[in-house]
Amino acid sequence: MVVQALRTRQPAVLEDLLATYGREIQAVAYLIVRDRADAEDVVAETLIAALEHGPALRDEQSLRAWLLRIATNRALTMRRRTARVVRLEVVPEMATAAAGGIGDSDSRVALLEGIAGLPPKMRAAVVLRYYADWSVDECARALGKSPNTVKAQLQESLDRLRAALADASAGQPTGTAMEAPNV
Amino acid sequence: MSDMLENQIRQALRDEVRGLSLEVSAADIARRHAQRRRDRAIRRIGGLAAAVAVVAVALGMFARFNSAPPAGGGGTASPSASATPSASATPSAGQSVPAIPTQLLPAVLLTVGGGQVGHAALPSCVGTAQNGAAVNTADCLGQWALPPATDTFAVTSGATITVSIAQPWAFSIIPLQMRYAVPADWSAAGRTDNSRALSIDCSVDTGTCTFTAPGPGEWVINAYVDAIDGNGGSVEGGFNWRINVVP
Repeated sequence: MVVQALRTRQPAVLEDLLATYGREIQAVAYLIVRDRADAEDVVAETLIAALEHGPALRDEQSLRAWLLRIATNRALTMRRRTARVVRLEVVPEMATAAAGGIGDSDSRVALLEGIAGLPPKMRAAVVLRYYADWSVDECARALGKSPNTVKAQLQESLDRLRAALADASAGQPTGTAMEAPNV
Repeated sequence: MSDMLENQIRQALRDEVRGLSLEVSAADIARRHAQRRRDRAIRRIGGLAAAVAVVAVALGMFARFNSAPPAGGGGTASPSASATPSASATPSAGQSVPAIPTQLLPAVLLTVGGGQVGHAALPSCVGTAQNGAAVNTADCLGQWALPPATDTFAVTSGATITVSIAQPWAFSIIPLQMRYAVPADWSAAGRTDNSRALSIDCSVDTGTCTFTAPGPGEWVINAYVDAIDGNGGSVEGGFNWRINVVP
């Protein structure tokens, strides 16, 4: 139904898409761009792109993946575009206050800071793999890279995050939230 | 070991987005979509104007070519096989397509209590759009002449602060977004509190954002502009001002 409406470019479909996928798109975008306003922009951009390119959607089953792929690319583009704007980074207090979680708040903060410090494309791979629960192949397709490249990026990310956790447990600062250069 | 770390990452990411609320509505998105279509129409008109200019130059060349006496002086000016348009009749380096006049450079103004206190001009790469083509904003990004929080202003708490685009009439679409005003010391440390960031409503029609100065302390106002002018030139960038709010 939604896909049919998308194919015929009915603007009313925006309501359904927003209700069904809005939160997940926002979450993926936020984890990449680290800015709530930008993440909302990505949601809007993604749904507009979906409306404009809806007729190209072939497989109904792939709607979610298609939307998240658009969102990821938009988020990375936005991240590049706003690179010179004041960034809002990880707030340890907020992360600590989050309910549930991995138990040790220092570790959680260290992990979040570590993820925020990853280069955007590497961070996107981590978000798609561990938040959206995509396979390496799906991540690779979304990011326009080979599965081996994504696998290597994920491994590098895990190594960095493991080191950040080790630093945190040793009581050392995990560094600032400044980003490493793009890869 | 790796599985445990992966699970920790999953959990941390989920915790991180748990408190997010989606404030954009379908109506907002539909409005943006309509605006986007208007943008495209403007660009298309710009492109069409350029195409018309190219055709006009080509026709002028063709007419001049056709009216010239044939080589060898045959005494006839009627078109012949030798007088058909060829590559030489297209504009060359010396006969380039006239550029659309450079448009005004937009600027962003910061006003406190009615008096202008800040001014930031967009970079010179704006206005180089020729023949209706949009400026490649990726090229512009490297040239941003940002005033990197160099302008500091003392503002009384509760004063009205306005950020606006100068000469808004020069632009067809003027979305000026005030993204956030965040405490300056936190942003300098690379660590800011999202929960205390201010979302400020702006008027898309007039390119003006007005808000009330926050509580005492040092804040950074960050204005983000993404404007498209009538020639299809696209400009974007962020400006930071540091304000010192006093009680």
